[in-house]
Amino acid sequence: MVTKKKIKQIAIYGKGGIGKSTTTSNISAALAKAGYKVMQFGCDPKSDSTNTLRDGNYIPTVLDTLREKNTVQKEEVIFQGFQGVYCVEAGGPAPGVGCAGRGIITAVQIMKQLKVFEELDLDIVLYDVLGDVVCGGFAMPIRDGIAEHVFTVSSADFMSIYASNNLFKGIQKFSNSGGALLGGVIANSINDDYSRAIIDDFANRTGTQVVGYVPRSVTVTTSELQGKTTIEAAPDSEQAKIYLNLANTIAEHTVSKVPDPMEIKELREWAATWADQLLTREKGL
Amino acid sequence: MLKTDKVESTRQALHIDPLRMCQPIGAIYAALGVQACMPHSHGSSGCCRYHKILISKHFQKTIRVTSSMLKENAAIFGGEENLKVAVKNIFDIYKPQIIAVQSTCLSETIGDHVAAILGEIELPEGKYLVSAQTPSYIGSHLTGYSSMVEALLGQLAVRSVLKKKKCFIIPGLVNPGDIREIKEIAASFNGDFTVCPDISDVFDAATPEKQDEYSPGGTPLSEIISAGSCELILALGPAAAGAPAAALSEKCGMPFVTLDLPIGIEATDRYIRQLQLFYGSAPLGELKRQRAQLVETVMNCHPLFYKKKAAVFCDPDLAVPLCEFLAGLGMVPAFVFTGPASSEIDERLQEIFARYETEGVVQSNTDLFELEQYLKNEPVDVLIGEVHGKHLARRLDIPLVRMGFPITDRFIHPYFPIVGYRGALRILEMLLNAILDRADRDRAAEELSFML
Repeated sequence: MVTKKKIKQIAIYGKGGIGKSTTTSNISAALAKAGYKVMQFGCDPKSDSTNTLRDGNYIPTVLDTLREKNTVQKEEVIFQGFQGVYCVEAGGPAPGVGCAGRGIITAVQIMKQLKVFEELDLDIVLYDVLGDVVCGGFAMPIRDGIAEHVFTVSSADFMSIYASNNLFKGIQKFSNSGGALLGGVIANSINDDYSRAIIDDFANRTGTQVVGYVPRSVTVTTSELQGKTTIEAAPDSEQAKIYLNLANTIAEHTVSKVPDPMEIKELREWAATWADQLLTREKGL
Repeated sequence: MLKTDKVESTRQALHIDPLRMCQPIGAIYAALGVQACMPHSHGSSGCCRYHKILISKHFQKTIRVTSSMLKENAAIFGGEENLKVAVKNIFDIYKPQIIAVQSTCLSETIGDHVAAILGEIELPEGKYLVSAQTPSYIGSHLTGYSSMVEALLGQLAVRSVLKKKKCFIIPGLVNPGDIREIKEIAASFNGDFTVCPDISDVFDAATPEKQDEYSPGGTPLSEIISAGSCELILALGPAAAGAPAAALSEKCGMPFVTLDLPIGIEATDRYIRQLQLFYGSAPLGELKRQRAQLVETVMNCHPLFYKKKAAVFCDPDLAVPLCEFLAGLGMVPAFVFTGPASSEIDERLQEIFARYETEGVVQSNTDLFELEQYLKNEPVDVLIGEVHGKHLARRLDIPLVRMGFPITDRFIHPYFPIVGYRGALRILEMLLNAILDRADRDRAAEELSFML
């Protein structure tokens, strides 16, 4: 008897605009380049998660297809991009109407019913999920045993850390009913030592780890303006190496944990201690 | 039998046989009291079906309610398209003069802005659209009734500088027989008045044969639009009619008075007195005759009611004047249980209890399970309330007098009033029959008497 290959399903969350899609797409591209069969599943009504894997082009979304045809066929919503990465966009309602959360639930369920992961013989599925966990719908990839590991993309900004802490609360909630566990923090836009220290301290306080530090880089911007990932547009750059290393860490990651999020008061006090430290540093004391 | 026999635990997350129903039920009820109006449920079809069946069964008549038929797509993308297509189809197929849209839990949760969507629709000449927000996770069917009446008046009535000696009567959620009685009493003053919503000649009229025909009853739209020319608004029932009266008053600038539903002698007296204050005195021969007959009957049967205990479970608007009447008969309204109600109900009932030197347990936003627990500790002689008390009555072996909404297991009852002096006489008869039937049942055969 052949044992069924275990597909590694990973969800990536973080505050809006923090660089989730950029990071996820570069990880997907790097993993594909390393020979893995990868799918990137964009769970955001904006449906632009996989753009840079497909030369800046949008693809038809699962929900738009469902709306128009009432059924969804695999070939209508799965498209291949850079190095054969399979790209899927959940899609969702226009801004200000309907319920995007319900949309994510429906889109993920449709993909489950279509059994595409098994059929495509995938190694890794990456869910790129909008914002922090604002409602039950956005928690879909981390509950019901869909994704196994969660990573959060965060900068050293307080609001970004706040969003990550909220995500940890969500993970903790679902952890005893078969939900996903936390793999760690992907520290983004880390260009100086104090940002690194802040994010390290946050990971330490919440019982998790930082799996990679990604500096802010103009290479990323120029690549994106060409509609490409850094891995594709600047394969030999320093930044590409950072993404390759990060992808490698994630591919080899096996054990995730239940995080220990801070209570809101605790989080504020923690942030205040950092404010004091930074002030002291600025005064050159 | 239930095992629990004492009130021990307070429940916050569980109601067993709640004394409340969905908001849209009340909204549909109100909308059907407008002439040539189609109630439209902006939600999934199952929602609408439940509301429709409950109302149909109360009147044992078919009613029409349309639905946006929201399915999964609409839950994700919003129900705008469904609503727009539905409105067009309804005007094409059923040709109503007005469509009254009530929202549902689903459309409220996904955040459909029904009023804005309706605002984008180009209406055919002389047609109207109104909408009310009626999510069932707050309030009760009375809230829905109140919201829809408020929507009808707030969105259609036009402010008028010229006022006429006319009274705009907003009744609470009652039966067509009650509406007829309310109208007949008002008509005694030979003055001008409008009742809105008016379900007489709707729920008690022959069902129209063609799909684009409507019952002869219902408040004419022209009366609602010209509501602003009335000099006084009279709300009968604070929970159901108070808010719409206040809203109309604010919009059109005339005073409003909120009274109880005219149930029992005193509440009917207050209604008549208010009309008298407005219209001036009139020869009220027939009303005087009815009152005299009622008062004499009450005095004559007083010994049969004296110290008899009752448990009342119904809407707050019915509970207050009914308990006032019961207390006046010498009965003890030992338990008064209602659905969601304002804190005023407790004060009102305590005042009534004090006036008649009696007492009772008052609970709002509660359920029949809790009532049953109380009744096991302290039995009563008669239960007065809606149909869901049926099981309770069987288990505790206490006669049930059906009153309020819904009564889905009986026929014809909506044609007769419980309001006014004649309605009070009917309540007396119903109560007395229940008490005496029970007494006869408990008597040995040789003790049965043909005489009272």
